[in-house]
Amino acid sequence: MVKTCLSIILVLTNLLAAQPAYAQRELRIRTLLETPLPFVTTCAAPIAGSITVNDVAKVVAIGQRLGVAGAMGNPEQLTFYKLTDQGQLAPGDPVRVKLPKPAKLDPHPNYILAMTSHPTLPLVYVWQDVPPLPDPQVIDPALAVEFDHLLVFDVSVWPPTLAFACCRGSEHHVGDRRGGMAIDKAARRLFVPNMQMIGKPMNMTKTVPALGWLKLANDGLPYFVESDKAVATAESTQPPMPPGPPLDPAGAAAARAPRIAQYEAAKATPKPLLPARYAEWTTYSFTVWPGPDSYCPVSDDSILLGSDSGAATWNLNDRLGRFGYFFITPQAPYRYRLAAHPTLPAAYATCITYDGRIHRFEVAEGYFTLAPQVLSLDNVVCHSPVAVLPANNQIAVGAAGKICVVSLTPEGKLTTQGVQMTVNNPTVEALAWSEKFGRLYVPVEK
Amino acid sequence: MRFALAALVTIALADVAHARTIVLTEADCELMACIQADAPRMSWAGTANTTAEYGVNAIDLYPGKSAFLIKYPLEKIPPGQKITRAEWLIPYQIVSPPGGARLQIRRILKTWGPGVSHLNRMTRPQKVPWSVPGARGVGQDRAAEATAVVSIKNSGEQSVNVTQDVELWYAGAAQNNGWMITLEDQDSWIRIGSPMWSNPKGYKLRITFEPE
Repeated sequence: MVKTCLSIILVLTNLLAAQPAYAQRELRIRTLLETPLPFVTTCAAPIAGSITVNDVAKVVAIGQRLGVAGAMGNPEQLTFYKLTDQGQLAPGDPVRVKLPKPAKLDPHPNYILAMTSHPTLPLVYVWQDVPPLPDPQVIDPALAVEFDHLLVFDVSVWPPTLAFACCRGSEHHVGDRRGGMAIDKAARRLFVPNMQMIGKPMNMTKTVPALGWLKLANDGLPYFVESDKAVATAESTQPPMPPGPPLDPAGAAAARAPRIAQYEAAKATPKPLLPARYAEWTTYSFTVWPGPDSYCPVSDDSILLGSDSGAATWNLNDRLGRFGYFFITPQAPYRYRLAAHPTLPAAYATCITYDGRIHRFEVAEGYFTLAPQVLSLDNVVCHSPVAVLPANNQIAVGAAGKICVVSLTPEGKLTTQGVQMTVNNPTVEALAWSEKFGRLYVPVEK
Repeated sequence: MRFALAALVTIALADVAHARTIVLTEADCELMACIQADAPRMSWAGTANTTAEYGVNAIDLYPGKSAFLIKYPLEKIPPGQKITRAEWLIPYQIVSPPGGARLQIRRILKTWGPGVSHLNRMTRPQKVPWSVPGARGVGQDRAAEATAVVSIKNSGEQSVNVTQDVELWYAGAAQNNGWMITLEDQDSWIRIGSPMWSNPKGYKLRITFEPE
């Protein structure tokens, strides 16, 4: 009798059920099963804020961020791991490198904001900064005039060596704690954060934040221009000269040597050389430093951006809709990070250190289109941008003490199939995927 | 005990046998767009925050050159039902002139999808333009006759009777390509709620149905 009643009640409940709690575009995973993930490789590097893998040289690089209250874990901010031919960590200790800075900035601990790797050359690009002391005062530009933000490491040798340093002086804002960096697939553009230029907002001429990139030559370094030609060069999206044919690592190294010598020699002259760049300022979307938080170049004409309150598009060939700003609620300033799928027309946004939502944007011809999909992970707060794992048809995101992996549909849409793996890192802020090795690299404390 | 059980079953089955109402919001909708002639390639040109910079923080409708497009999926209505009433609530924030302006709601006749903009109804899997940019082809892109023309002023929420349209789509008599909201009165401007910012889940479609 009781069983009959319960059965009837169950049937009636199902019949009377209204719509599900979560709507069509909104998905939810209540529980992520703890699962060992065989494609994950953990790399010990404390207070890690960034990570990149160079498939060409089989090297993983991990960058140390600024710690709480300016504390630093190690004086060496950059850690390199060599990989085997299968993408596992090679036997032996990692190489730890202390980043250079001028003596005048000794009281200011330098840290890494972002990193990326050249797709075909054994080069790792590191963007560093120093905090103002005492916080939140700005840094005296006179102190920072010899501070090189961009460090280019040659990882074809072991230990890796600093091949080149640049991006100093008035073209770059100093004292920022965030910023995104990326390199396009053709390796012609190195997008760097916290650029600045002379703009004319409100009919005033002043230094304003800028978006843009360094124009890379085929040897992996920026083209150089004389300082008096830098402004004009920055107004064009085109490189200062026709790009040459792709170079192999040896050819690129040979090409770099005389150019580096030329650059260094010009430092002491009245006309030092500057990296050729393109810079553009906006009047609404990106008007403060630091920024942008993410660069995702998806074509020669379109770049997706992580912005103050969501995601944005930047279309270079559209003078009418040049920037599209997709606000995401709630307004959690400076927390949104964006990652583009490398092969599908989709991008994914997380709101780091705020909640466990992942937004999936449809992209068409460089614009966000239709309505985004939202996946909520219960009991998860995202700490990293999404890493896309195309070979696995998955995405991964870092959280407190774990990484979460969610399966995608063939169109790159989010599903409710997800797992998690505990790692020894209280805040996983960065992940790096190697398409060559099919492995996900995760920094851990030890 | 038996009487209570019988009463429970009777009440429950009676409820199932009579009308039910579901409420869909734009959170159920994958197809949505704000198209503007001033930014003809963008899917989300809600408001011009400054020159050539558009955002979804608001949706501004100007006569003859902008529209809000949305398609509600009707799969949540079980088969074998009769639509007795469908009401669409549209939130709005600002109306100019203060005396009021008129919103027009029309069925969209053509399929649209990824890459929808003022110029194109989709760019993927292939680029297909509207018959007239802005989905303004009467009888081609959009229904010749408006579903509703409503006068609004100040701010609030406007209810629109869309029963006939939902019936049409549910019965399969016409393809469900959703609606477009436009402004046709000259010298007017309306800011409707942004589903992505100011009015999440504010575009409610209440559908009441009962077994046939």
